[in-house]
Amino acid sequence: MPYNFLKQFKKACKHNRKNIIPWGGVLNDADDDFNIRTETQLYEFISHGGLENPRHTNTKPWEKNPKPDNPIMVFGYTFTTMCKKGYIAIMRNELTNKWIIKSFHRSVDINTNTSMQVALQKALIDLKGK
Amino acid sequence: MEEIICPACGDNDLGKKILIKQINEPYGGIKHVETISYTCNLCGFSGDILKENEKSLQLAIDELKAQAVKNILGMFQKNHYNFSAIERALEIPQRSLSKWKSSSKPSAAVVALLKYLHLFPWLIEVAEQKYDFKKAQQIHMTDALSQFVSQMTFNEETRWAETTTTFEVLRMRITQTFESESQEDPDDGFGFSLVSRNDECLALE
Repeated sequence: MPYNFLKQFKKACKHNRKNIIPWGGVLNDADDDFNIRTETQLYEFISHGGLENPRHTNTKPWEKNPKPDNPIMVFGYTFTTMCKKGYIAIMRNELTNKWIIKSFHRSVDINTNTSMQVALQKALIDLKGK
Repeated sequence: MEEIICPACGDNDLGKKILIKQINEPYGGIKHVETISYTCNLCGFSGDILKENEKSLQLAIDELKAQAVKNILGMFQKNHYNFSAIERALEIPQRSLSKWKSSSKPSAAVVALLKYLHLFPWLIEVAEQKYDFKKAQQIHMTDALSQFVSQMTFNEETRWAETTTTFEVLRMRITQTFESESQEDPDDGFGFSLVSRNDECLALE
């Protein structure tokens, strides 16, 4: 279910951008952390496989939902890009038919620096290639 | 006219405000752009619901990138780089740099290339050597070493040390250390660091 949700979101980033809206501050974080400045750049990045190794981390109800009769779930994922680890949280309101990007920033995990891990993975791939 | 509703909760109690967003571009400068943000009074959502900011943001970014290209090429000219020579070394068509300088919307690849050339001008020399890996490493190392040496501080003490023998310098340092230790708090470790720092200077000489 969470991976299908992400798949649908990626599809929307490619074909249905008018129905995606980033929450205020998301673009500032995207600029600060990933050099992504505009919505178009963000959707291009996501739809073209920019979120590497996506991993579902949590699903929880939207805490500030004022209409409990229309439950909205927030899906959180971590991902990597180059040597950075990032976090994206998305939700969808079925009634308004809109996707909301709630967060998009560097992951604040303890293992934020994944450069060593990425380097080891690359070395392993090189070894397997030989 | 279509009613504006909050995309998150679907409510129509929205407030509109104008925010000033600052855009920075390396070597291009800073621009301030007015952006529109809608805030839902019910759920707290805020964002560009009608997607009105995209165009103005992109325009400002493009202008800053064009300015960055102008500034970088201006700095090349100021430092007496010959455009024709750079174009020859990089194997790009002649007059390309001049065209980029006057372009109002240079391509992203051009902006990235020029930023790299501005940061690492020795990359032009690498291209001149036909991107040979060994030569490229030599050029890189030469530049790194010259940067390193130019940033080293040769103060009065080390200049004086050049005209004496190592033994004399060491003896003098030890005497100075004892003198300073007697004046300073003995627990602060200052005397020890003075000796080790001077030893490093001698080793480098």
